[in-house]
Amino acid sequence: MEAPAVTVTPEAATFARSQGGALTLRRTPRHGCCGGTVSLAVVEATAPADPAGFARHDLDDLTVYVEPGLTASGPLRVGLDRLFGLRSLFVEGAETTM
Amino acid sequence: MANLNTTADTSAARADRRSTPDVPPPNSAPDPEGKNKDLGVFERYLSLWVALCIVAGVAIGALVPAVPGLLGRLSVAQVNLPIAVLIWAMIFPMMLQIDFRSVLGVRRQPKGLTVTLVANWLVKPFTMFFFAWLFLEVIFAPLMDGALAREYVAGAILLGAAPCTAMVFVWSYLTKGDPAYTLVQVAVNDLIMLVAFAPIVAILLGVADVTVPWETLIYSVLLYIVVPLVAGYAVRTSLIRARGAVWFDNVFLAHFGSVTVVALLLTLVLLFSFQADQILSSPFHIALIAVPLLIQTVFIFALAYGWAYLWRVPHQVAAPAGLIGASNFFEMAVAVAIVLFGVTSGAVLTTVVGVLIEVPLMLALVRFANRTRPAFERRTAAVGTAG
Repeated sequence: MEAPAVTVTPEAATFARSQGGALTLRRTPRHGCCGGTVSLAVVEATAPADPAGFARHDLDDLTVYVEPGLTASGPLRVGLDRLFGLRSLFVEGAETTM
Repeated sequence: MANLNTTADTSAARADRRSTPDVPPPNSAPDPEGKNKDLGVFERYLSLWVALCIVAGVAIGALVPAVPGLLGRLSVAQVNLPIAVLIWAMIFPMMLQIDFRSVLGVRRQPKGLTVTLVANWLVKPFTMFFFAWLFLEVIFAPLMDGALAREYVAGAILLGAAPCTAMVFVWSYLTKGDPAYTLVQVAVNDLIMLVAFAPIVAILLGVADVTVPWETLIYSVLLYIVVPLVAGYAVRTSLIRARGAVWFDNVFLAHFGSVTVVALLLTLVLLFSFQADQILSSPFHIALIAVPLLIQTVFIFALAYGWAYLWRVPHQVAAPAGLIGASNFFEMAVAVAIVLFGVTSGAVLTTVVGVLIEVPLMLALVRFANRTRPAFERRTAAVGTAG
């Protein structure tokens, strides 16, 4: 399956560069209390511990790793949240799977 | 090959995004009505398994009363140890999943978050109390003892003061909700619950004329909210630091996938073994308790979802915003009810009835949300056209 397109806002790209220049987009499970587990997309400003199996894409000095199972019908958008001096990346546009 | 690029994020584009913060993220997957998304067999029939646990628990309590008698004596400082272990087994895995960094996203969907917070914290606890009081202490008064009715109301208050913290991800998925927004609203709700649960419960129990010592309430909050939350955060951060986030999610959390549900069902068997006498003497009370809980669930969903519609909040935000308040964090309500009122109390029975009706009722609301998605899309599109 073709990896989804990824867009990174300039703020998020700057933040990622300050953290080492790698972004990992992958799925994380959320277990429901009454059963059911869904996989949500998350983004981290690190390379995966084991990059094997991740699709790797380079853009300038930024390396983006995308978990193959991560799907989206449109582009994934990586942005940066800021609050009280704290910063955290977020990703929008991924499909949640069960 | 991925089409990777940084966005041409001009200042004009950024200004545009700031001026329309509730613009939906790209999420145009096929299956617009969410018809291909559904729960598994186990989750879909949870009410059946809960009912079977009720029967099993009552049977054990009635036929082998020595079992609940023995288990009931295993208590330390008002905490029944077998039940405490099971409740921790339910709550701790949920706390492990909370990523508080998501709180930083509070400004991304301000309208949606406003709907969520107002419905969950300024309306829900009070309407839950009102509906429970109206039905159990007024309308159904001829059908039950007044003191018992007050205990049932107390249980409803505990349910109303704690919004859903885990299952909402499933409800959000089933309605094609925005997962990024769902993460934010859960993290914010959990932080608020940390400080607001005890005062809200204390105020409403006072209004309901139910006296509980403050220290017992604080004790129960510490035991079943603060400690699991802090422990979950500490374990999460230390394991991610040591082994990486991928290992934590895919290996460590996977061990807890079924723990919560198994603990839930075992807790129900245990609780109903303690409650056997009460259930057998007045089994129809379960149906009576369910009435205000059902009305409250529909009311809170209608309020939040309807408000979101009027406010032109995108459907993928409106649906999880409506569903999080409709669903309850009943594990915590059960736990606190046990500490405050004891395992054989009417308050505990109310919190367990909440579990009984949860899934079928929420699935009905999910279906409603999916059917009404086109109306939201037309309304949101109208804004775009007008704007």
